[in-house]
Amino acid sequence: MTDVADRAAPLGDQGLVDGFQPNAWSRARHRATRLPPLFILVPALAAAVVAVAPIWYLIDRALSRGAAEVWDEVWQQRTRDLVLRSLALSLTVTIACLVVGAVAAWLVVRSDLPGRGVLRVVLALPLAIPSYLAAFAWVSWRPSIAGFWGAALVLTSMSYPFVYLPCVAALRHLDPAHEEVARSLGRTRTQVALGLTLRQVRPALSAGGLLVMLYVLSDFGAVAAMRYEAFTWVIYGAYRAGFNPSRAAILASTLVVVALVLVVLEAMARGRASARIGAGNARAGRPVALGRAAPLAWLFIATVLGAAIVFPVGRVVYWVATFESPSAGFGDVLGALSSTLALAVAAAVATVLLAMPVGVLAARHRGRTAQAVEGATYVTHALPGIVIAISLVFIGVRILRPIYLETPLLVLGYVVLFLPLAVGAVRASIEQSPVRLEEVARSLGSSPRAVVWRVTVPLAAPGIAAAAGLVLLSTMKELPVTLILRPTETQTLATRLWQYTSISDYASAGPYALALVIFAAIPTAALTIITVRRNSPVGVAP
Amino acid sequence: MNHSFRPHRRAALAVVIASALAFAACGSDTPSSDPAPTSVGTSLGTSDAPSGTITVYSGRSENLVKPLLDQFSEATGITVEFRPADSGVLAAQLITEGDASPADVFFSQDAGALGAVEAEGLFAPLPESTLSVVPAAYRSSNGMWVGTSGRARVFVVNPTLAPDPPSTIDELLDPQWKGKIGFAPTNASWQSFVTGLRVIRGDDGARTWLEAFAAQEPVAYEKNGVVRDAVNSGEVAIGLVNHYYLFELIAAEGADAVVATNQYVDAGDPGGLVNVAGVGVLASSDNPTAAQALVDYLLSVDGQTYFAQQTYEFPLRSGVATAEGVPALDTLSPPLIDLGDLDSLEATQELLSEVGLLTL
Amino acid sequence: MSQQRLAAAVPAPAISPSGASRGVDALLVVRGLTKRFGSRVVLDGVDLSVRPGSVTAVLGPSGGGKTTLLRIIAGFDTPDAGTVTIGGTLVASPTASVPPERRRVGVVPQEGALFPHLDVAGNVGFGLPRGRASQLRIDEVLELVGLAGTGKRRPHELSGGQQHRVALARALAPDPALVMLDEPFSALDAGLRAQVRGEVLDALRASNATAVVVTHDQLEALSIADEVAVLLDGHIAQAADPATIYGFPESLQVATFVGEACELPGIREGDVVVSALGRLPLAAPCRAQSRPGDAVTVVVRPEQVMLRSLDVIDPANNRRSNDVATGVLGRIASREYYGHDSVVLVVLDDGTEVAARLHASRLPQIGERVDVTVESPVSAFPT
Repeated sequence: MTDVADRAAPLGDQGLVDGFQPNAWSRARHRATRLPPLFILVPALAAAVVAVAPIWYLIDRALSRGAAEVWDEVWQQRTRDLVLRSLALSLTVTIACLVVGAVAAWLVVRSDLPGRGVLRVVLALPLAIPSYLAAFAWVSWRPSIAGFWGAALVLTSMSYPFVYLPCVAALRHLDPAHEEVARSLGRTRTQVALGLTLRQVRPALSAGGLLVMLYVLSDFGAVAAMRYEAFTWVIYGAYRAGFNPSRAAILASTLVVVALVLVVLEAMARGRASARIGAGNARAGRPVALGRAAPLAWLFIATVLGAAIVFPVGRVVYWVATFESPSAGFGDVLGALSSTLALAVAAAVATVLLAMPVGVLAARHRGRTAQAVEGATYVTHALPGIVIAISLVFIGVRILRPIYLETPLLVLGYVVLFLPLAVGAVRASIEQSPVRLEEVARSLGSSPRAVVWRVTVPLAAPGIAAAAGLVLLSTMKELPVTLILRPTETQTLATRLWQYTSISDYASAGPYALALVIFAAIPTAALTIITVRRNSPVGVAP
Repeated sequence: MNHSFRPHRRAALAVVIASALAFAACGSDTPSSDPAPTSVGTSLGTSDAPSGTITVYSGRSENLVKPLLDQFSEATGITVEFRPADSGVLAAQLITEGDASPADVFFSQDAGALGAVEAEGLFAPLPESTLSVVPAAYRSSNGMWVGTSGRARVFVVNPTLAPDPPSTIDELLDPQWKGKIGFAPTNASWQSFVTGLRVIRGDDGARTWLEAFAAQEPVAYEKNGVVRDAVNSGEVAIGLVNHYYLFELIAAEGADAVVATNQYVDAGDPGGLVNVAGVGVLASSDNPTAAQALVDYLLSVDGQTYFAQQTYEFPLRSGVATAEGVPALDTLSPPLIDLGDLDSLEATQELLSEVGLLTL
Repeated sequence: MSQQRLAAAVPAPAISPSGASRGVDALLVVRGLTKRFGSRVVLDGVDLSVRPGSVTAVLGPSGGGKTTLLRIIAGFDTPDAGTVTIGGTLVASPTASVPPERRRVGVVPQEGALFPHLDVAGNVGFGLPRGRASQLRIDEVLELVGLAGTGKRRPHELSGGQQHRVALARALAPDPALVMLDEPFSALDAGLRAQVRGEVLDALRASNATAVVVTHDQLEALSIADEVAVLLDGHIAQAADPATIYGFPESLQVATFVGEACELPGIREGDVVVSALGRLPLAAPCRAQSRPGDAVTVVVRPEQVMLRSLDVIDPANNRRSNDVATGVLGRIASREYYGHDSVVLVVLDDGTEVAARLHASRLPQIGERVDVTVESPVSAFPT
């Protein structure tokens, strides 16, 4: 998607790196000229309310034993250690993901690596593998891998696509002219890659890094299997061993505060660069020849794919092949698969419908309201699933009794969990479509509401589809909320997988694990292709 | 000029309808969790026989107890809605739901979760006729829940590597076992044992033992079953597990393939803690008679025999035999503690964390 | 097509030079429009009137606030002060704003900005209600812009010029009160530009639309517009027909912005200015700006400067022609050849440099002696 004003500006005016001519059109793109219309604001606020609903529960629970107890709990040396341990893991994984994601993205977009077209999609597939499955695959092979580095390994291999995907999209949108000019001014290839290109994809790295950080803070599957005493593990422990929901709530609230700090820091790190990721030129840059570094590149890709896909999937196949007489019938797998898919589709539709007004608000009506609403959807993203699940139990029995332990409440749980993922994708795609098209539509007589349906949504369709894909695959993998809130007798692939692995029946678990990975891989591949192709000629120039 | 034309609205509406259909589609697979109104009709017809539907929150796994519950449904006509999850998570769910809980029965894997729910006043007292089936040590002292089956902590030993195995937890600290003991640090039964140790020896006594144990450089495994396999294959000499893991292995592989044996600890030693799985009826149940019927069924000879034969646990009803090779519960002399005191697992985890045994 | 263009060119250009007097029957009236971005004042009291059926060019340097003016008129931005009235209805003031969709202002952005998800017919019909009548209207407007039969094509299958005409058709289709074109031809290459410009102008005239064209290109503004409004330093420096703007600029800034000019220091004496080019008659519209005796800057356009070679022997009397010099003498210093004409730089004997535009038929040699005279009255502004 191309911004004609920016493209038309001569390179000299545009500046080499961050800047572009601040003309009236590009200024308008980011300025909230008026209050957002109600038909955007009201549903966006509704989405924010849904997203922060768990906070209600946390506050109620945390304060149930008095503020003094909250203070004691939070200021314990132990709690501080926990925060540090979680942050250490989170930072390590995030840095590793930034490196792996950025290098992988650069190799498949800007280098002449053979087979990069296929690799582009394959490299995103680890998203389809649940962290608990991957962690268990490792720890059941070599128990000694458990601990910090085991957790870091699994979480990195599972979550680097959060960095890789936006990075690929950003690199494909870069105007190769910038790199060419830098080369002509005497910079070496490496200097260009590290200096210019890296700085240009900074917003993508920053946003992806935040998702990884929050994901690591909220993950339970990997840290539990790897026995790393991170925040979530202790929160689970407060429920499972301590029977102490108040303490869990206090710890979870601390986690929310940590997440809030991270969200704000990321917003600062992203800085003004977020205004624009690239000039959106459809012209592909000439791939950089790897030359003698090619075997090194291959080794890198092979290591990443081996650790993230081949090993865990290989273990699952091994379980299916080695253990005899699985007790799971074909019909059971099919039943679990169909209810998994139905739930995932419902969750994707509901989440995306709520994410769209937030995305429009954040991209088109910047201001305090938009910031608060968008931030609200992120805050609960660091909460472990168990906290979301219990908080929805709390809300369900109080104000949503008719749908308690029914499908709609479960879908609401998925919405709370995955709204940030969807908002990010929707918002990015709306930001990339020129605001001018919407203005033209207004001048042709369309009301703001009609413009959303006739211009904004069709243009953001790839991003909306990517958001739906992301929610789809995340829902399929999700366990704690599904387990607690699902309608009685509804079995999904994830709950079946839990049911069998919890009694070490890997033979029976195998088929469910395989079905889960295979079917989660489909939306993963689809969303990757959408993301990667987003610079199809939707611009205006010939 | 007419600007009111908005064709894309219709497309949006179609999406909403499609999603509503998707909701309906997943809803239709599942029977409503509301108690069926037919329960009233049938109970009128058959005077005092319980009927209808009950919802069971179960910390025990589906594969383990679902066949027994199916037998129950067949025998009584009561439909059971089965919701499995972790016992502690279910306790948290019950506490959060309070009076509004749709659950009728809580079937827990361990006594601690039952104690936590009891402490919130959510259980209805069980009748004396039910309680008296089970020895006093294996039920709530307030009559709020009752154990359904027992399991003992044992040392599973490899006779080749440990011809003269220890029989108390203090003998485990002998230098000859350094690096030769396997355990599962996150296993709930291991943590229950440590809780029992704290109850018996006090926190300081427990810490002293745990620090010495940690100095033995025990080998951590993912699960009890893996510990047992490591002992059987000679990877380690001694494993700290529950008694039934050995019998599961014998049942699966045949007695000839199993070299490991169970070493039951000396009378009164904390290492021989017996914990129970148990059950309670929620005070908020809207079908308490059917719920009570399930509790009684679990404690019936049929129910107790099922646990004894299928899970190799100790039946708690006197007169029901254990499985072949499993000693009778009354031949063991476990330490005498109130199982309701085992709800301080969190303090146990803190202690384990401090001595470095939790995240080994 | 060419007949159409001729017919369209006939309507009489407005002669009244003052903007205020035309406000009465104007379609668009902008009064005192002010807009700041932070501390930067982009528009500083803009006054503008546009007559129905006219093509008005807003001419100004890049970054001079033209696009902001357009955005405020279209309703995409709100002014900090001032008003916009369209067809007698107040549509914008700091406190009240009619939303863009109810202003009946069609916009043709740079490069067209076609909806990439719609085909040509979908783009053109965007502002029309669905139905048979609209289909006819789409065909009609496409025909008007010379693109009949392209309805099923996708925007990216069209050339730049075609895209632009589709964007114009899209803006014209709902029969707007006013069409605004933002730097419409700047993205097109030179060869295409003149052609597209002609086609767009034909379509505008044929549809009797009132149009405002925003541009930084002086030639473009002068060639297409009935009226040119020069936007300098945030306000309209002068608004008039092209000939007046070019021939009789009201200020030195306008004079130098709308075309090439030599600026020479001079003194006014009566209705004559005295400079290095001698005594030249002062143009009537400029006389009010200075008084006799004032020091002035004299503006001479290159095409006003006439050169006569003195190095040629006059065949009539066999004498060198410098014997009959009528103007000021100078020597050719350099020359730039443009094909259809050329511009030469003359250094007068007193050292002053003057540019002259010559027909390409005869190019003087560097160093050639010339006799320099100036045709028609010149403009001059107080120094």
